Amino acid sequence: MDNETYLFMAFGISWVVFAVYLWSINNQAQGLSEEVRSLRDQQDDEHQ
Amino acid sequence: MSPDGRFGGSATGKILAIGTGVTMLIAIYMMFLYAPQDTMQGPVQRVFYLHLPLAWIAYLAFFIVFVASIAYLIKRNRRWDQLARSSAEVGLVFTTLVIITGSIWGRPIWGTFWEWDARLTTTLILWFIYLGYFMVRAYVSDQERAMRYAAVVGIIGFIDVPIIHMSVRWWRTLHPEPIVTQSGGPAMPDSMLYTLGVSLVAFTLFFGYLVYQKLLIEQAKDQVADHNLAVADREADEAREHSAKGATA
Repeated sequence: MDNETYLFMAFGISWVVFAVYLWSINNQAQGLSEEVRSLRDQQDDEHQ
Repeated sequence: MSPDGRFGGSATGKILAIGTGVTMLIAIYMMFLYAPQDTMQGPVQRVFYLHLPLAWIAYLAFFIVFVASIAYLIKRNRRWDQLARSSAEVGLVFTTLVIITGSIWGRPIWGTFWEWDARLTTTLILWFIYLGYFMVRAYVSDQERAMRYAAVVGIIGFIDVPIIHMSVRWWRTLHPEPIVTQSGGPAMPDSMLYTLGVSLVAFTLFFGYLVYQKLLIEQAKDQVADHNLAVADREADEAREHSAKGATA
């Protein structure tokens, strides 16, 4: 492999890892948002 | 989290996201088009503008874990634990990338992906320490105790950070000595130094954004867990009351 391939490999792997991590954070946030919303609805129903 | 249960919509989240986006684009431009090519190493030397900021963030992340863990042990306030675990997770991602980018850079320059050299080995030890940090959390069932044990690991684990930093001075290693913080000033042209500076700012903002998002998630997770615990307690009380009534009847 030539010198440039290593450069793009380092940057490529880093961006893929960051993209996957951002995606996983986003997924966790989305799941929790839904859970919190359903708990709030549940609490509102109980108060009524 | 916003009142309607959405994440990342706050002013802090937006400022960090926009700041990261703008500085990262400038940093990428400078890394590939502004900074001159190194005459000795060729194009692969540009990994430096990625590898060094990643290492700086790894240090910063575990410094935050260290401070937040001490604060948690003193104050026993769960917010410090939430900050420590958020920073540790993001720090683990950055440390993983420090090791990967370092290995890739090492292959064309040193002729090997890995060498049991002091800097590389102590960095790998840091990676294992923080993996242990999450294992403690996962395997200790009592939450309070898990937070306490993790805080102790977070504090003791930080000892490895100054060892990593000083390893290239204390031992003979393949890894070069610091060229930015050396006595007598940085041994590189201004254009390289500016590129490194912008890259450091971009990655620090990115780290801030990730920790902030992770912190919101950890806070929401704890709220949901508290709610579920309260519901379980209430149901248990109701069941006890019900059975007591049945017994008296």
